[in-house]
Amino acid sequence: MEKTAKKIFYRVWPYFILIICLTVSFTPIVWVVCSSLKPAGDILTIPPFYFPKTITLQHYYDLFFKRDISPVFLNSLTIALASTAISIVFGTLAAYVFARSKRNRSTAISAILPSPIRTSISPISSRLRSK
Amino acid sequence: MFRSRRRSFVFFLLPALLLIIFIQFMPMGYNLVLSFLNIQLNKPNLPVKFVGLQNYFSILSDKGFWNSVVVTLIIGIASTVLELLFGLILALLLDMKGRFGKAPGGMGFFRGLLFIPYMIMPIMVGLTWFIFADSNYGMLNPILEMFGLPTRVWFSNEKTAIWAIVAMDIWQCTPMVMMIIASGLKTIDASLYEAAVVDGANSWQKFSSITMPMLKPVLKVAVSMRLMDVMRIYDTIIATTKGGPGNKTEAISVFTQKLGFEQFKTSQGGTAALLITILILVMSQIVVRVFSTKEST
Repeated sequence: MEKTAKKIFYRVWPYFILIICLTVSFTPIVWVVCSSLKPAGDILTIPPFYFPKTITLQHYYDLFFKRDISPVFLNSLTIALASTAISIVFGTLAAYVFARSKRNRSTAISAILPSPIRTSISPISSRLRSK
Repeated sequence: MFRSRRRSFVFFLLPALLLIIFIQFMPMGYNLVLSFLNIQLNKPNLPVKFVGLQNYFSILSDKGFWNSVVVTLIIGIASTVLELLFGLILALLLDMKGRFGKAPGGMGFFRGLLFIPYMIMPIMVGLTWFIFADSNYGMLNPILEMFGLPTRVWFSNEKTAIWAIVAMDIWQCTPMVMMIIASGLKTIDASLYEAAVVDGANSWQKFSSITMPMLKPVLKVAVSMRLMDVMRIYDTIIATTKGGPGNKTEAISVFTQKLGFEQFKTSQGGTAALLITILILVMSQIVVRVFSTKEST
């Protein structure tokens, strides 16, 4: 009997800690979601309350249909795709050189590149070198 | 053979180098030039003069600058250390093997959910926490009260403001550290642990003499990335305290932005930006050195 309790404890304690962490990290996010479902008068109240008393989708309707937010999404998408593509392609090419060449000169070049590209270079090149 | 190989190396390196020269070194060079001039945006008729190192002297003798350096170092070191600790614990939990080498189920689910805070944009994190921790409308104080914890006006109290920002950074970026460490744990060969079990090692010995040494390269990446990121912290501070109360949370980025774009001292702002770059370079070099001496290779 005591043994099974111990077994259950060993099974359960990691989940217990993970659930605490999840609760901490999700409390504000869920609050934002809840606030988005509240009617306008219920969002900033004294004292505040967590879960919406009445649910409304008015804010979503306003956001998507009354004001046009598609260009904003398009802008973000353009920036994200372009910068990811460029830094992955160029970064991979450069990282390959740093990993494969045995000359010191390339390490000198890699040392003077403190740039966004370099953040992807350094893990990739250490990955290639370890193989 | 050798020749063509070298030529292909140059060809591979060229796009990245060109890109970096154009988007990185040209603005930096312009900034360097700026730092020796006396340009002020609100005085467009001021004759542009070469002033030598005067901007550097005035920045380095500015108490506000040193205050901002201290603030940045406190935020940077505190949040990096704590994120590393929490990230390591979470990664170990997610990577845990059961008694019979079988991982407990559902860990991928937890990993995905825990990563969500990192995907929110920093300015949104700042706004969310600013309202969440508000003393009138926010939910944070009622929740803390429920657990019997002390309540404060977190972002306006001069003692807690900086720690509120550290906490916000930990909340957001621990998942990233967790992911880096978890991917490092995946690469450790399971046969090492089996060998250790055969030799009669307990779990602490397994952790300290297999996991930690094998994780060192990954930790190096995590620490240097986090430290460089936190030194550049800007969005969350602007969204919450704007450097206040007083200048208690004025990190160097906020200080430079205020100098350059609110007081319009363009040249001095450029000088401060250069000094920040040097500071971050020095810090990251220190991190690299510290971790590579222990690596022994």
